[in-house]
Amino acid sequence: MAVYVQTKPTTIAEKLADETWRRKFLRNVLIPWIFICPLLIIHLYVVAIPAVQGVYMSLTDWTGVGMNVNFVGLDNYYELFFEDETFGKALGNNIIWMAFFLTVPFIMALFCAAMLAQVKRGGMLYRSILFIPYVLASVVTTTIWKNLLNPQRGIGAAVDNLLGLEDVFGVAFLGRPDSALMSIAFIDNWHFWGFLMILFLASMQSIPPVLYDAAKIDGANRWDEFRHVTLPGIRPTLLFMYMMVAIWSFLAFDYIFLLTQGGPGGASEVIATQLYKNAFFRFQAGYGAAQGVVISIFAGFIIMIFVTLRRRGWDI
Amino acid sequence: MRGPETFIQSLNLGGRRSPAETLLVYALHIVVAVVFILPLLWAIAASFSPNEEVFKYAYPFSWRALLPSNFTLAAYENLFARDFGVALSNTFVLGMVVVIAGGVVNSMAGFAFARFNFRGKRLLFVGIILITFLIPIDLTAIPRFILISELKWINTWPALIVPGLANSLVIFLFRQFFEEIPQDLIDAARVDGASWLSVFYRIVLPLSRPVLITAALLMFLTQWDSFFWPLLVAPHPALRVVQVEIAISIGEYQTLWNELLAGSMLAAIVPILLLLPFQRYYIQAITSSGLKD
Repeated sequence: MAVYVQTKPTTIAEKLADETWRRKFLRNVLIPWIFICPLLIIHLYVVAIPAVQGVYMSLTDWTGVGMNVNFVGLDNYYELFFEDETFGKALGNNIIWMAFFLTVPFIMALFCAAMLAQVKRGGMLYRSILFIPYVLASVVTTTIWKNLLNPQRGIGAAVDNLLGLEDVFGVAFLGRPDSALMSIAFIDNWHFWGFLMILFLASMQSIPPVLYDAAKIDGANRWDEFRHVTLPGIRPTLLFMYMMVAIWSFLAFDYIFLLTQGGPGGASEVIATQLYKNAFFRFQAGYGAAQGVVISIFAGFIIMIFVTLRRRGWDI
Repeated sequence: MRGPETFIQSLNLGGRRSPAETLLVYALHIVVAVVFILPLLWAIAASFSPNEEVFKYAYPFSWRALLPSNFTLAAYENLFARDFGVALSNTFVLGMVVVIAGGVVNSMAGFAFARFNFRGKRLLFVGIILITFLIPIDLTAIPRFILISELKWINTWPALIVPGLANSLVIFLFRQFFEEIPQDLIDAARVDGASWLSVFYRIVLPLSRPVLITAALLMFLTQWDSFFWPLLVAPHPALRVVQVEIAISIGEYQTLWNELLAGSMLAAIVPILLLLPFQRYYIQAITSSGLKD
């Protein structure tokens, strides 16, 4: 029996002369990189390199203009956590924001999706109606709601008029420190929860109907069904959205900026709005970059929690 | 779309509900739908009203607030008289260019991630998706803004287009779809001597209509809604996009509410027209990936 011993090419010249090696090189190195290359170049320039530069900027006292850049180590971070009280307030607002968005839209969406899941005809129209606010751009939504929350001519004034009251509901919800943040959260939620509901609905509709029949035979009532069939059935979607909403809570920016710019008097300030002001208006680009890094660390921390839970065998 | 009768019947399904429960469910759905659509109906009506009558029926409130009072197209005419049309066409062009160029870039990357094995693939994939995901736009916005100004791209089209091309959600969707394409099809074409690029364009892409529609939809809508980046890099009137135009006119024409709302309605109609017919694709994309920016 003849034995063919294929010698592995070693030098570059030998490698190039070898047909199978050339093919492997094409298949495993050259061609994939040709396909990835356009994306990689754009991604490097638009995301990766700016991200690294941002981290570096956070270690400097750069103002954002000019060439005067001094490396200051972790000074910006020290100032953020131990000296800057407005940052503590903003962080607190982010946490309030997160508490709101991890409860209110989830309860609304679960409730409505559970009711809609059994609807078979006309459900599409209803879904579309609830989906429309999600489709609107933040600029559009905030323009409409600024009008509706106007103390003199908005909904509040109309309610007051209807009930014969004066200045009970017709107040400047967005202009008062105690109600500004919650009003923005309410408006953002008006736009957001329909999206959540539709995700839950899609997830619920993929639960096998057999499970509901089985529950019925066991004498389950509506609540038992929801608790023991629906919730476990949509658990992956539910937990994933919990993670996403927690992350988004730290990135919250556009609605707050468009409606109050963080005001009045910092009452609705969050980290991202502070960052924006520091970077583009207050000539504290280095300090703003440190805030950006802090946001990323929080978001990364949330992802870590979920990854750890999944490694421990949670079905997420 | 169905008529109101079917809609009402549809709210009352499942024979095992008691009449009281049926009534409750029915009332609840109506209330929810009305509450969520009312602000929009009011805005539509206001955009067709003369400015001085926008709030006429809002205070004291009457149902007339939901119909235009003295129907007029003046708000829309005034909008177009001051270049709102330019903003509309700018946004449209921007969206189309990003859909086409971004479609090429992201689908090629998705194909590489789905069908090739190369060193560093996993690291690269996780890196690209995670980085874009975790980092707030503002952190990268400052260095990116500096980069764009060093390239002398401020107030030019590339500043608007290039940063919108790489889209991690779209890459993710392409990868997922391309993984499902049977290997036999690709092998057969390869045996026939087709190059990888022609396999991609002649075999893979024509099979990928659903994911192409979804990707186009996502990228177009992202551009249509984009606001802060265009405001930073292209505030010049000739390059303004729709959202920037509206936001700026809120500052400039504070009291012309009918015009502001008319602009908002024009900005809203495009995503609504695109998403309602293609809702299914969009939702499938989101649920299958679990990602959304």
